[in-house]
Amino acid sequence: MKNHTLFRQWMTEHEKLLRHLIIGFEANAALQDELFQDIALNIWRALPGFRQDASVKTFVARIAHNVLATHVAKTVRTVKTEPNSDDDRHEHLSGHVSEQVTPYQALDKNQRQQRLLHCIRQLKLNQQQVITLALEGMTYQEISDVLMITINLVGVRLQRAKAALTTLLEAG
Amino acid sequence: MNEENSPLNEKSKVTLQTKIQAESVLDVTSLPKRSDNEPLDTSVLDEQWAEMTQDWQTQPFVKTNMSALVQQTKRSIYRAKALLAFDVIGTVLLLLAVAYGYFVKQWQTPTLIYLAIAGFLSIFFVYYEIKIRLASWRLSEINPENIIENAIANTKASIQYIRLIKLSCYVLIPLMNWYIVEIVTLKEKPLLFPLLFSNSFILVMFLISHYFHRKKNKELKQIQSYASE
Repeated sequence: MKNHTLFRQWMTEHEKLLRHLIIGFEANAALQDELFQDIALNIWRALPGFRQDASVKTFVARIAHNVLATHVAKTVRTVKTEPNSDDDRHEHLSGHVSEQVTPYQALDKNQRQQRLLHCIRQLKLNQQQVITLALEGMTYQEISDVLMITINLVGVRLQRAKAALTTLLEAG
Repeated sequence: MNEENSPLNEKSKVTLQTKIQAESVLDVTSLPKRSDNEPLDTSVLDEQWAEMTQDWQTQPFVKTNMSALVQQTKRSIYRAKALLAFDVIGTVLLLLAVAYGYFVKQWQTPTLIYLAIAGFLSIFFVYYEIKIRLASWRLSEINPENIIENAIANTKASIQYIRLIKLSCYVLIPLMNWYIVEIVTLKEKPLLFPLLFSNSFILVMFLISHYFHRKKNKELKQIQSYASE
């Protein structure tokens, strides 16, 4: 299969994964598009060197994480605050939060997605990496292949990332 | 007396058989009520995680026009390569022009000196440009373990390139002024406009480079602080 046909097929199959990973790291829409383009460019370049020992999904995610980690390290971490407002959120929460429902669960879907993104962007880089991949439904083995770390380390980082994320979500 | 047998420890040795028994011994009404910060049940957290996963995976996203993406990607690669090729060819032509002007046409000395210095500087520019471009083209070989080191190396190379541009401004100011004075005097034309124009051009070039120098230095500090975390 020709490279550009393969590239097109990979990008179509994994577009959703890539877009989700990008928005987990960057809030600015223009920069999100730039990063998508940058990742696409690197996938194109890396494509001839692809060996069958890894899955395409892992390979694509690894490239995306390389690009995103560089981006996060380079830029000042400006977490865009959604104009939503805490007032609306608190109003919505009042009267709905029961003892066994977290503040996160008490929000509506759109608010939950915004809140989740906002909190993920505040995590440390290595926590952002494991949490975004775990949320994509990747197994420990796949996350370990993408980040090139041991499965045990994936477990440790994910546990810490989940704890940090829960704290941020509860902090409101 | 053995302290473990002390009557003070007797209370701690009471074995409570049932919950009712425990409640009668411990006055549960005097215990603090469940605080807001009390950790949630594990099953609730699992449920929350499942919900987060679902929310994450159902996030809306803008579909990309794949044909446009393929074209844009190809163009980006060709553009980068074309720019590098253009700079290499430009440098070679500049050096050939010096040789041609010296050996064949016997151009005026100021022109030859000016072109020779410009050609010499151009070699350094092309060297750093190749270094920077090769570093970025190697991106597919890097992994999350060494990505920060690569980013540091790339940023340092860019800073060196910018320093070279700033340094070339210092060299160009006296060189260009001298060249203009020599040429304009020979042609007996007014000196003010060419001098103003060329010096303003160098000043703008210097200020732009300075802006990027500061920006790259800041980036480098941030990447290094990440690396040291």
